[in-house]
Amino acid sequence: MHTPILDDFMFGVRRNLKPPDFRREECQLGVLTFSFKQDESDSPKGHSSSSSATSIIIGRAQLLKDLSHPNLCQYVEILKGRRDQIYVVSEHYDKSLLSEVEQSGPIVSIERLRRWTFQILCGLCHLKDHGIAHRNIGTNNILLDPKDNVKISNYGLFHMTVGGQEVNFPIGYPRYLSPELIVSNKRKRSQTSWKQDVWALGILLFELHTGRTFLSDAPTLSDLLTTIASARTHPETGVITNLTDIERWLEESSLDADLRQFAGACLCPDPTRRPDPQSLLSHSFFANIPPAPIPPSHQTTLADDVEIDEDDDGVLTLRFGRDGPVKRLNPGAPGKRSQPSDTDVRVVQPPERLTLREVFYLWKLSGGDVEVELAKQGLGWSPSIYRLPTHVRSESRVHRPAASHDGIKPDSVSAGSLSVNPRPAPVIVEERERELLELYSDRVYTMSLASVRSVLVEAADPNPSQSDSGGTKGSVETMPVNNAYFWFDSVLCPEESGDDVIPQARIPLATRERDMRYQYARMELFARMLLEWPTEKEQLIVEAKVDIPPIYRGKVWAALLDVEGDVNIEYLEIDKETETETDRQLDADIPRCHQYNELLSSPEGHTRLRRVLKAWLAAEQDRLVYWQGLDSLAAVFLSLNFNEEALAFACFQRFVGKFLGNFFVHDNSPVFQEYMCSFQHLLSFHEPALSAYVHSIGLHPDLYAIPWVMTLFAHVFNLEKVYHLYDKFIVGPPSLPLFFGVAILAQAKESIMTREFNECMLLFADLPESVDVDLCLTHALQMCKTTPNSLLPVAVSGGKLNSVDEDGESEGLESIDFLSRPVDVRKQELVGRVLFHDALKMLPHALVLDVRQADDFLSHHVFHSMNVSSLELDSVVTYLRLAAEETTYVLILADEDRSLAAIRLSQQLVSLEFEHVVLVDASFEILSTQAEFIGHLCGCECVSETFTKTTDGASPGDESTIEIEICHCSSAAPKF
Amino acid sequence: MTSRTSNVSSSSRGRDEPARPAPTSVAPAPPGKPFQVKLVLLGEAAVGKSSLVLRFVNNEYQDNKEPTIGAAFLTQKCRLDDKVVKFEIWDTAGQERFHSLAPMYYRNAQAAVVVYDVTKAPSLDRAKSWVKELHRQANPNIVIALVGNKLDLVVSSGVPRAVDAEEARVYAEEMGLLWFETSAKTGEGVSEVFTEIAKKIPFDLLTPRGRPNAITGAAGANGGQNSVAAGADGRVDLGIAGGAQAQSGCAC
Ligand SMILES: Nc1nc2c(ncn2[C@@H]2O[C@H](COP(=O)(O)OP(=O)(O)OP(=O)(O)O)[C@@H](O)[C@H]2O)c(=O)[nH]1
Ligand SMILES: [Mg+2]
Repeated sequence: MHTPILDDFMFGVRRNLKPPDFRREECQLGVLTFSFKQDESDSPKGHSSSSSATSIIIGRAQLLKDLSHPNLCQYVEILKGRRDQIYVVSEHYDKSLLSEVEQSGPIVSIERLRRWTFQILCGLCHLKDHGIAHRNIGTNNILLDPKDNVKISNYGLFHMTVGGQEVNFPIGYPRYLSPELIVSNKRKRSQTSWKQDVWALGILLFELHTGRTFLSDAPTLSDLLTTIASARTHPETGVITNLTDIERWLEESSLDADLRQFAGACLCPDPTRRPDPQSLLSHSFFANIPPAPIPPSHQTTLADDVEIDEDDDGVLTLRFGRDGPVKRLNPGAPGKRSQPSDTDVRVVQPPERLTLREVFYLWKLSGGDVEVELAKQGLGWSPSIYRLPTHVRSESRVHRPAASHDGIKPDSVSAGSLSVNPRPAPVIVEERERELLELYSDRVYTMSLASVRSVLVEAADPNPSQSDSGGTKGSVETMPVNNAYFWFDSVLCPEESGDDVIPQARIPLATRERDMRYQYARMELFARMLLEWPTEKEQLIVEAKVDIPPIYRGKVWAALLDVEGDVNIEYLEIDKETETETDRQLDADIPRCHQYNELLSSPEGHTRLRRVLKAWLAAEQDRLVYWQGLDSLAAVFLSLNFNEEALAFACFQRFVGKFLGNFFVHDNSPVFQEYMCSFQHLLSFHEPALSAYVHSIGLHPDLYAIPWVMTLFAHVFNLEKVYHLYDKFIVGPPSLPLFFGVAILAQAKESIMTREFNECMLLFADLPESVDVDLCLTHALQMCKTTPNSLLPVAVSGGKLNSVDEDGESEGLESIDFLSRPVDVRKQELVGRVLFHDALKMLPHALVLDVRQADDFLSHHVFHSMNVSSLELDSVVTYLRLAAEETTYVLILADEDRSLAAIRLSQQLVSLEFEHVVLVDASFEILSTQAEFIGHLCGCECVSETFTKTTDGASPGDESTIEIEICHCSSAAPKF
Repeated sequence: MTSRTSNVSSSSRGRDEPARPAPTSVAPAPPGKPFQVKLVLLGEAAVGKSSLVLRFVNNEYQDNKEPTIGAAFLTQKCRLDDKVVKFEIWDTAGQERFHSLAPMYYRNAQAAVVVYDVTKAPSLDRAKSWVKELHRQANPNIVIALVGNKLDLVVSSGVPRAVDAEEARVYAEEMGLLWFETSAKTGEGVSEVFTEIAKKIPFDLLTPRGRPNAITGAAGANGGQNSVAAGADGRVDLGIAGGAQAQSGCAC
């Protein structure tokens, strides 16, 4: 059995540590929170703008979660709090450059400085590759892992707030500001600039090396800024002048020559002469450092970043994309470290390496709640860690904080991309400023993952006595194992459960999805299967039918939908930009699509959904067009693969292909009618009483089922429900959605049958909340199994005749392969028709009712069949019911002359609640030309039975009795 | 299957009339005997049809109301002098592609609300073509109201007006339509639309309005009639009449 191994959740460290190491607390999750002005004077309008700012930020932050680099603290989640505040959850370490200096004074080891600097640059380059500038560098933001490796943190703040525009606190510490930024105008200040980061790096080096806080002697913030802004560049040497502290430091004789040169380059006041992070990597300062891992070049912002891990043995592990495949490379082959072309989006990481995001997910399942956790640590309901100290203009005028402005306007940020970090050396400020400074804090709240760790240790090692994994279980704090989760082991060891019954199916899906240990086991299983896809495809389908672990849903769907090849390349090639006629409609619909969802309601979400839809339209090249509702469908896939648009697109495209084939052609009314017709027939087949009732009140499927079939319920249910529905649709037959619709009606049967038309229509409006998706799915699958294919629209019956039995041979049937009547005629019929081949398969299991004239019946009839030429059914109902009980289906046969009689009989039977009634489409005349059919014929003399029928007269007592004869094949009289 | 007695009472039935179970329940006519008015909303996508209905029926407003696919159905009662009018409202999808479904909603409608967006000029053109189509194909007595929605945007949000009020009013007058400007968001003018419509409905022509033959099986009745939307004929008609029949039965 595979033993999952999980270590201390640190990135860049190989995770093959044994269970005791679980308890090491080196890496934590850190939570940083900030909010917008929750101003006393906030008008409702102000509120709505703060929530739109939240949504802008959350949308932009998604990209950050996919950034993965050994020198960057991984972003795990960006959450919206109950009061629109933002919680940023990320990898966190207690040690930072600041704490190092505070503890041990100046950093004199050049080797250490060199390594740190190099690692910082690596991180910054990676950010630059994704278009992100840090803009918030400071000694407290550069963390150190236990191996003294740099972990840059809080690098996404500037990016997610659109250069600080969306928040009313300034980003970046004043003493690290470059001169050009101080003197620049407000617009420039919010522009992305990597040169600013380089300057800040120079100041950082100064502080580390000297152990002093830069310009800590500035009496006021204004003085500080004025001092920096006065720095000049020597026109010839490019060396800094006019900034005494720096000049003096650079001239110190004890300073390492390379460091001097390097810092000098960073601290060039003229930004045009200051190098960018990339070119600094090859600076002579790093001459002794082995060739750098070459950051991959990125043409797109899709998730294709590479994570490089180096383990203790020096083996490098490259990971492509967050969930990408893993390649192990030998050291010393840096050339191979660039991204190979065969990236495959399906593959997820090997199970022994949980990502922080997965750990966080499990933590939440174990009951973790960020807000609760923070409250425990003393954070009140109105957190505002990044409260604004003050705003200062380049002219050194002190401004009122933006908190006094109304709403969040870009210009309220204007004044201040500047802030004060009071911790190392509070700047002496004016009275008013000081007051505000107290609001300011950098505090990062840390969260313990102890409970997750301990449970996972246990889960990973269910039989400690038999394994040699350390047997430390006793010392680990364990959660009591609930007996209800008996299946847990069977999931881990499927070979032990020889039972066909899926044990966990007995536990409600919702419970399974909330159970951390169960999810962990499923994650392992699926991660492994995905890794081995497509080899493991069969098993993947089997397991997916049980349930799909929500955290892997996007990937699992992709695998199940056979998404193959490099979807990114395919997607890149599609023209998603050119304006088309549809754009206006898209612009009207996208801002209305699943807007309760944080991602989809963000501007970023709108942009992406628009691109995915335009890509789809372009790829379908006018064969398929945009119908309202398609947006909801695309949104399902985008929300699951938000950072992987290409994957979202590929899944969406294949899904539409599988389930909605030609629904989106220019004129879909034929397809549409076909579906509605089929829907009605399926309802009659499975729910005759209901079908007869809705028919009688005129409640036709066209009136309620359009969004059902056109958007496959994506427009009907909320996303959570849709996910669960599609989990099953994807592994089910293409007809499943239709059956699901029938199941919905069946579930509401009682309510419907006691309501009039109007009330029924109103009932449908409330359906989304009341439908039990799981129950309906179960029912739908049952119906699927007993339905002849002929009743399905051609598009979803797949032309494969497998519903009645599995062998489905259909060759040589030509004209009788198609229903003889056009859809608008069939649509008028309450009961569906089956094709010859389905009829043949049903014959042995059917009560065959023949409506031809008695004489014709006597001469030739189907074995076991019964002649029901008289329409006085009432008297023989009991008899027929008993007969029908013996069989699965009721087949109605007619010749050309009596086809109307057959239709009437079928409708009567449905009204009388006979289940599984169908008409045989071909007439007796045509059937008789088919050899296979002739084999079913019998020419016996038949048996007659007489029944009496009491007819109500006009008034009580005025009754009469009629005798009715029924004639049936003598070869096998129904036995009763 | 449960077995039932074979002595089922059967009313005599014409040979060609399809089988139909007796209605399981007949709603008793409410004391006020509301007049049922079938009303259809038409207009370009996103002009605010659904929002208007939501305001009228629930007095609610929702930002980012999701698009309507196919159609939505709602009802609302409305008192008018001595009468109670019950609107049966069909709120249709705005996208041009769904056009072929429209006839099944406006056929037999007694009222239509054709909506445009005062900030979007093309939406008035679309409204005009709906009016034309209604005049050509709908019930000749249909009461049509032309409604310019999203008035709040030009009044208080500074969005430029794209449809001149006077121009729209003159057009409406020429075509014999009621005309309003509304805001589903603030509620301004919304209930007036429906009350004014109710006032104009020729109730004397409507009572009694249940059509005895309205409920027929799908096998009969509709074949060959209007075929504007293939296969869409009469389906709503059936439903509405079905709802109305009980009323007329009592009204007679
Ligand atoms: N400002 C403002 N916005 C409105 C008003 N009415 C509707 N909206 C907005 O306009 C958008 C479209 O409104 P809907 O009511 O969905 O429009 P519709 O005509 O039903 O659209 P379809 O169903 O696609 O045909 C939504 O985002 C509404 O919130 C209004 O009176 N004022
Ligand atoms: Mg609508």
